[in-house]
Amino acid sequence: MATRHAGERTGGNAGAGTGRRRGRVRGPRARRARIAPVALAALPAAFIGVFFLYPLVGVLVRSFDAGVLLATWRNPVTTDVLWFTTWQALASTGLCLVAALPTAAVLARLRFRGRRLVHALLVVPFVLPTVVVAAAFLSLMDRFGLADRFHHTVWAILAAHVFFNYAIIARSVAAYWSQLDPAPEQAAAVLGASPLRVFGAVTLPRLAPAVGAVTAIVFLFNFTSFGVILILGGPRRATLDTEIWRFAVQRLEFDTAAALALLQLLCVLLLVVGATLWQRRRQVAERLRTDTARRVRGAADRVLLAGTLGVASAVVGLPLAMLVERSLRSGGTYTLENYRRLGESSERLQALFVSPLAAIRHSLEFAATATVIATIGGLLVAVAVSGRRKRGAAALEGAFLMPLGTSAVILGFGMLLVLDSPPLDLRLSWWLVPIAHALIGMPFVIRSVTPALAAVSPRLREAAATLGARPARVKREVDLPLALRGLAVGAGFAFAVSLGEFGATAFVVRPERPTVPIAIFRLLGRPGEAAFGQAMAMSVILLVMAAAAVLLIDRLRPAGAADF
Amino acid sequence: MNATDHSGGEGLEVRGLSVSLEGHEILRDLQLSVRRGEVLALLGPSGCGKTTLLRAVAGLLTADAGSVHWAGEDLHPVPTHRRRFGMVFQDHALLPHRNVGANVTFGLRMQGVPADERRRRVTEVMAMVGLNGYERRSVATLSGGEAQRVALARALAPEPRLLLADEPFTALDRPLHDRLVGDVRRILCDLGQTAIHVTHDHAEAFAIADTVALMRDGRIRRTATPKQLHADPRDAWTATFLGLGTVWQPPEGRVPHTGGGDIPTPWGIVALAASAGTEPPREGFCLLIRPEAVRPSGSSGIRAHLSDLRVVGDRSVATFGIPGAPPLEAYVPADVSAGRDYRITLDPAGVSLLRADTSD
Amino acid sequence: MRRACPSRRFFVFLRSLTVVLLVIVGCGEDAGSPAAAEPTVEPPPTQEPAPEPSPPPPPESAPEPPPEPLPPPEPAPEPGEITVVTHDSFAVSVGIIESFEESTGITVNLLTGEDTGSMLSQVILTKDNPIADVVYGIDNTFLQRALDEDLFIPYRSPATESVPAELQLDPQDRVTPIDYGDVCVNYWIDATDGPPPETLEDLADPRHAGSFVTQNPETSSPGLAFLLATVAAFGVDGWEDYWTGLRAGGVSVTAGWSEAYFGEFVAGGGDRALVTSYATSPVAEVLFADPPTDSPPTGVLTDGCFRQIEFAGILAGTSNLAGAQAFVDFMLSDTFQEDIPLNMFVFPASGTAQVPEVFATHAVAVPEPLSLDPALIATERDNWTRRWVEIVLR
Repeated sequence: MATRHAGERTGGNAGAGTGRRRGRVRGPRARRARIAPVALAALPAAFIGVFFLYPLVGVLVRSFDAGVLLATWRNPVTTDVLWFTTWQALASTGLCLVAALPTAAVLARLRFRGRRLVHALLVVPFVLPTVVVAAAFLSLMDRFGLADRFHHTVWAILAAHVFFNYAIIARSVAAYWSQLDPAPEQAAAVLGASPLRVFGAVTLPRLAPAVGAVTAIVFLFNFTSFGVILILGGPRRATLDTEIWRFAVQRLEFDTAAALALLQLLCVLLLVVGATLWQRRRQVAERLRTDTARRVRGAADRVLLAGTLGVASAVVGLPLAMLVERSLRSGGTYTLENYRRLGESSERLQALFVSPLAAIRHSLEFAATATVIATIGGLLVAVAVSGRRKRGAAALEGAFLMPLGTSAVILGFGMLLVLDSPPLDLRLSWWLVPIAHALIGMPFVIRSVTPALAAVSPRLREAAATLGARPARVKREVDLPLALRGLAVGAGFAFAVSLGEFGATAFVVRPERPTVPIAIFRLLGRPGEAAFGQAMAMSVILLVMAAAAVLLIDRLRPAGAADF
Repeated sequence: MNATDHSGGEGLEVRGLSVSLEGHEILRDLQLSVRRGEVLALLGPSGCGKTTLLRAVAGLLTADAGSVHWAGEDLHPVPTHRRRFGMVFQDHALLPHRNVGANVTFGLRMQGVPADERRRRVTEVMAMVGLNGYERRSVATLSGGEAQRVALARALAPEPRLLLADEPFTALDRPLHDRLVGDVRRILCDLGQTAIHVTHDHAEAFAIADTVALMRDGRIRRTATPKQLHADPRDAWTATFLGLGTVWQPPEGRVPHTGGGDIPTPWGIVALAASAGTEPPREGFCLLIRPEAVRPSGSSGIRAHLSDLRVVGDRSVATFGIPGAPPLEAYVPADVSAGRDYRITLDPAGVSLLRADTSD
Repeated sequence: MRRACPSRRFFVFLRSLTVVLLVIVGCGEDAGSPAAAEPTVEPPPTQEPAPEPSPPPPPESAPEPPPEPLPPPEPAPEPGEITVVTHDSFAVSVGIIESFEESTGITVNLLTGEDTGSMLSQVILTKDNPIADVVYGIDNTFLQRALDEDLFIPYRSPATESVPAELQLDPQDRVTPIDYGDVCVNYWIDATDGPPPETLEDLADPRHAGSFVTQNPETSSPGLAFLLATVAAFGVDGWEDYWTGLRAGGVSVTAGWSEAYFGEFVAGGGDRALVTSYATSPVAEVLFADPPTDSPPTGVLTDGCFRQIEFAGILAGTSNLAGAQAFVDFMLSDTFQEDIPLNMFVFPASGTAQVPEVFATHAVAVPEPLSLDPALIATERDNWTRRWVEIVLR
């Protein structure tokens, strides 16, 4: 009997027993089956290749100068900027984790009235323009008489980063967490572990794949922070991103900007590779449930719930309340005047070119399109890389994270530079905006879905196979439904990202098609109480849009068990 | 039942199967055949390779050498989903996002069976496993026994050519376990279902199967009916594993190589009849002393201390100890009591000769 | 200006994507530049301004404008499309651009960069295959840089006659002045400590400097303009001392105009009474007052105002030179010029344009605006801002 050398081994320390038992996968047939996932990723890979790598390489090649590169990299100012960029990003990410994990715990484990609403509201800060958030922060600090001590400090940067990114961690981790079987925790508790020990020794390691996946995103956001640094950090502080912008746009020194962008890219690449490898090593199969949350019962639960909601409202709610309050203030009294004016302002405020209602429509159109692209693309990538433990899969997954870590200015320039001739003459195209947004949204989808997919027990797939499901059918019948919760979270973020995106949009949007953030920015570009009030009202509308969209996307997900 | 009829063209035939996982040899040149309509229990201790064999048969992993055939067809090019082998997993592996009904009809959907037919069939199978009306239940609400029945129903619904059950009853409490074993036996018999049932529990194996394949260290050691195994375990390991009684290894050179005659034991001389049919082992042998062979008698026999007394089913099982010999298990009348000494004798009818442990 | 229906665009997009995919799948190595592999359908980009229909005078003409009368009806230039790239402050009333499209048959595509700097960056980076036919919004602080890049096809619009000479900074007519405005310190009338400052020197008084917020010239256009104003006022040698004084007095600096005006200035709820803004800001304060008012709450310090002039230029490589010229003419027409003030809050460049009454009433006229030679700005700007950072921020 000929010895068959079957394909690769399955991964080393994959979860207790399951990986070890799988042994060798099937022979030549297996290899054929493995080509399919690669093909799945072809479309999204082409997407990122054409709309991210190609523009990026194009603009960097166009502006590259080795001498300037060396001089820039050797410049001690660059080192300072890099150091500040890194440590503020680390600190912000750490704070986000500390603030978000308890919220995630409550959202995952407790079922209470308004749970979905809280889930959706968390996403709201994400879409707000930095200028607006800065205004809200300052007026909040003003209430406590802390404005002077807060303004233009690192604390302002950290607080704003927590405010913006808190939800990313809380929502994504909660989605994964709620699908985890609580049995191991219960076992640990029975063995005498205190709740804190249970969390540290059992829950946290189990959450590691999801936490890792999403922390990488938050870190990248903080690492490439722009508006927060400029506006809240004050003129003395600079990150790589603000420096790239300054050299590219204010000083028009593209070679220096390119040198800094390359440096940023290298850092991001290092981080992405490291994070992806780390995260993949932590993926284990779990017995996933649809939702393990239980009703609130007992005083402990109520204290926990109240505490968490308290933190959430302090972090997210208070600044938002300031914003809402300001939007209702007009002519010294509280009124809906600012909102009313939005409806009639088209001839008084031509700054917008179009009515605010049209801006809302544009935002929704862009966001819906971007979400569809990001969701389909992200899902394809996630499915393609899940279960593949080869480096190639990690690289593919990591590659999609790169747009988050890239300067919007550089990418915007790149797109205008290279997408300039048929068949890809997109410089005037409506599609450029949703494409740019989808690039940023896709990593959210991928990162929300892969942990769930990786956690799907191989036993379920095998069961489906013995029942006659082809490999592709297995993906559809087993992996996809279990990934839906993560997918909904990812799609919600993709939508929110698109709603709130400003940096790249400002570069590629047509002026007659402003999005809501662009409209807000334009309103804030001119003096006058009414303009400011309307900008605030517009911001509130933006956040309502975001919350409503996320609620809706959550609803689209089939809730209970599927019928037969 | 004729266990020697191995036509090969009928049911499952495993030939020379070897499987290594991460450098460890799990299955070694394994041979096995299952006739159509036969329920075969794959019995062996944990870690002997039962599950690996089952997975190789299902096509969930590939062998290093050897082949699996169904009705004479080499299954190597046939992927799992086209083998039409049903499988019941130890942890049920019910799809958590689908309700009971959807889990059960999953296989039928994969085959493209129309909805009406599916509904009819699901009612039928659910009735078979005694869970009528559970179709709309969420799988998260099922008890262990219910989940296992649903898993069985799901595997049976598409009418598989071969049912593979991987220790499906391990996690269940005893009464439920026994009831399910009985139910499954009945269901499989009614359907004439060909099945391989993996278990490490000999009682379960004996209760459920027509044939038992004893597996040890990656090989099938013996295939026989439960009755044959019980009557003639052949070697010390089998007797110990099946819990047939006390196995005693006589000291070297104290026993004649005859296979019969008077054998001195710590419990007295046992007069073994020249064994009927059994070849006397050449290299050392053991005695199997079944519990029913031990008789506490009033006056004659060896004096032994009754150290432990427990009730198993409707019988009392006692443990007798004498210095320098292994504890001896015996069925005793209800009037004996622990902590006292009794005189015991061995009934030669309950004592048999075994090959010594042949582990390699 | 209407766009093709989305479904058609989608089809085009799909087709493009398919082509790209085919290219990528087909030849792995060449995947880097699928578009570049396509043969270019366009004419060579470095096309000299071929005198096609040429109703307007040829570009290389002498600075003196030939006073030949215009051909009475603007002979409709070859219809087609033109693309205009501008900054994000660009705004016009509904119907203005449409009127141009109707009378010429030319479709106008608008593109915006983020701000003036990023718009200019876009134009420079894409000059081999220009992103647009006309760029509008380059101001005198960026002008020299743009001229140095050789971006433009010179064109002297007949309407330039009505533009005051002091606004025409390029004798070669590579750019055409369209509008101007003055960057001035504004004050909240009710909030200043004592009477508002009347000169830049007054501003340095700690009483005022401590409640003054300006913008970082490295990141903000009015911030740069104000720095240039101080350079113009105190000289290349004197401005540093002035800023040392401002810093000692407690001046606050923000990254951009919005953060200063709505963040720290009284207008947005802040507590600073003085802010770097525009001489026209009071107009907006009246127009967008809440509740409506006839007197703006802010005043303007007319000493030390820097004049920003915004230009339009025709980008070399345009494929519709006639259309581009027509659009430049249009931007100097009264229709467009008179629409400028209330949309962009700057003054029209053309002397024949009537400004709206509310604008005329509340826009503060600056008697002696400051300015610097664009060439000097281009060479010294980086040094000045660097020194400024050292003085004010370190």
